[in-house]
Amino acid sequence: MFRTINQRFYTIAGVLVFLFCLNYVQLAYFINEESGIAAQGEDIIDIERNIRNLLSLFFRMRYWERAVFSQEFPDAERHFGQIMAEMKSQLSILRIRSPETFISRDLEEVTKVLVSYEQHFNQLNQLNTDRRLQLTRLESSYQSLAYSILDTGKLNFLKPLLIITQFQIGYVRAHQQTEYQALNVVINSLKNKFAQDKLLNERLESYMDGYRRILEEDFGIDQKFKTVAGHFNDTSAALTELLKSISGRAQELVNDEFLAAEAIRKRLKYSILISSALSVITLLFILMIVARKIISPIRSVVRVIMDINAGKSSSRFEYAGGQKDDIVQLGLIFNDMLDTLEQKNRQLIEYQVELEAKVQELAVRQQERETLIGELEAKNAELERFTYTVSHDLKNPLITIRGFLGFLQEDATAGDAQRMRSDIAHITAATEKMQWLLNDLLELSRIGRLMNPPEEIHFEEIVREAVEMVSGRLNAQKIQVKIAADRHRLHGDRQRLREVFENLLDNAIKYLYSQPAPEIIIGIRSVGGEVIYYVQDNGIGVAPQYQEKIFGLFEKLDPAVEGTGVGLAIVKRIVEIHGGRIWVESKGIGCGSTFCFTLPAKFGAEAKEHS
Amino acid sequence: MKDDAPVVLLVEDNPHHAEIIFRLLRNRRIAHRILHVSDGEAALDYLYRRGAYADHLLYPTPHLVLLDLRLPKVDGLEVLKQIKSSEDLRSLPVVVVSSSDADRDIDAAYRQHANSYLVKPIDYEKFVVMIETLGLYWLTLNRYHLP
Repeated sequence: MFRTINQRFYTIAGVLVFLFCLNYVQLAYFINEESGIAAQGEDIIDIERNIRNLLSLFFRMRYWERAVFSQEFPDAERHFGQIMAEMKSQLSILRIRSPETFISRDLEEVTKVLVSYEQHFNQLNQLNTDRRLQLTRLESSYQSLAYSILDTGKLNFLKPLLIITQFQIGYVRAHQQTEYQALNVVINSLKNKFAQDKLLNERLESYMDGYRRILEEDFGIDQKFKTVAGHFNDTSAALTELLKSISGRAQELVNDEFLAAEAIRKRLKYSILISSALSVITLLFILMIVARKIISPIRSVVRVIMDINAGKSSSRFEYAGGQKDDIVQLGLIFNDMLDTLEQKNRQLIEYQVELEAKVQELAVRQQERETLIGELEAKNAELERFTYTVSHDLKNPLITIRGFLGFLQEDATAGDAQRMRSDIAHITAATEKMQWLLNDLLELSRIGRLMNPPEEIHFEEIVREAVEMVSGRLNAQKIQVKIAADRHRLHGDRQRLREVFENLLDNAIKYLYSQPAPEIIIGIRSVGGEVIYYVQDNGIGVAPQYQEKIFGLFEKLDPAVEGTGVGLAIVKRIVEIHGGRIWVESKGIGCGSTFCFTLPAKFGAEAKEHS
Repeated sequence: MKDDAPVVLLVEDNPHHAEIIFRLLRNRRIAHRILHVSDGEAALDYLYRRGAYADHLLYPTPHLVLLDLRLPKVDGLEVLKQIKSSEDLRSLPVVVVSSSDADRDIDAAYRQHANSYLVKPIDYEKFVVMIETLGLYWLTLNRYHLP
């Protein structure tokens, strides 16, 4: 499940949309709840305000009630009526607005009490009016009585009248039963007095009876008033109590509502907090999943790519989890690709190394071949030169022989015996020359072909051997020979090396013929660690331009000097076969010459170790 | 001896060969004034009248030079080169007489403007014919003007 990026994307998007919707629904629910609470709260506050209003109306009504009773304001009764009407309407509104609550029940009670209050008030008001009327009647009755009494003209009645007056004032003021009874007693006593004095007439009697009746009525009214007033007070007290209680309870209700709303708000707050926290946690969880399942593998792949780009070819995509989704598959394929590439690269490098080795080998072989070709060419050139020289030099005596044979024939025909001898001598010389040439050629061809095994040779010893070989000619020309006393040892073919010294001595002897004090020095010198052997003479010397040529085959500087011109060629060949080199040093004609040669360092070095 | 008798300079290191050529030229009456030098250096000294060859009367300018190629000291080709590169000696006919019949030598000689190249024959009769023909052509028929 959720293996492809698509699936993951849509799943995550779905979860996010769901969360979003959930939060919206929750928010809507919260707002709804909140507005409900607010509406309820407002209702309650409104009711409470109305109740307070009611209470205040009630108090105002009480005020106007008293004003009505005190008769101080002519409009009091109208005001009272208005307020009463207002209260009633308020009550009915309230009862409609708050049905079936405790308030509605209480309000019903209030309405009832209010009705009874109104009845009592009306009663009281009526009674009050009655009482005032009765007082007026009592006043007029009293005045009639007083005038009647005064009409009698009897002064002894003045006193009871005064007493009546006093008591009446007292009664009117307080309507006390005692005054009422006192007045009755006084009236009765007065009546009795009148009866005693026979002054009692009908008119007087009716006045007094009238007065007593009015007084009695007044007292009755007053009593009734008092009773009703008591009820009225009770009712108003009850009403006050009731309204206050309702107001208090409404107040409490408001407070309760506030507390409840507060509690609900708190609950909502916590729910929102919890829900938000849950949302955040869910989001974080989703992010974590995205990070773990998508971003982390992608980053891993990217890291590998960057590594590869930076030249770290061993870097690979690593994934610990078991689930193989798109990206992991991508990484694994990438790994495979890298492995293949690396393998191919390794193979390529191997091929390259092999190829380089082959190329190098080829180059070495080519070098060897070129060297070989060079050597072969040099050998070939030498051979060509050799063949050319040999054919040329062998041809020369033949030409001489045939030439003089021709002359000999002619001379024989002419009978010139002297000429014939000379011709024969020429022919003999040519055949001898040919013999030397053939011998020298044979000798030259042996060098390099026939070599003795190398050995250690004492320098002085071998030089003495060579000098011994040419001692006859040295003595004949009285040549001084000096040999350097050196215990140096040479290494090589003993016979050939002796031949070198011998030929060099022979060469020196040939060119010392013109020297009055001929001398040859044979020695060793060392230049830059290289040992140089030399044969020095004070003969005719060699001009610089011929110093190279003299080592060539059949080369002679002086045709008069005996020899075939092979000696120095043989010396050069022997030295070169030993790996050394040979040259001549001479400042020119008449300065003598020094023939120098070297033998390879290894011969010299080995020889030194032994010495 | 007439003054205008042809003078031949023979440059030959082999004394026997020199003797043969000398005798053939003399005996066949081809040339009488034959001067012989045995190496290249002497030949150049003669032609430039240097050293021992300064005397004009004793060593007159030759009409023909017979030049061997293999010579001690200065090689025959070098002598030829010096003659043919010299303003004074360039017109002098030089006939190379060598025992070598190698193409290399023949080519080298003509490259140095040799007037002719002859190979010494081993056979005596051929040698005689060659010298006679040489004398007839170069000393009798051929016209020359001394520098």
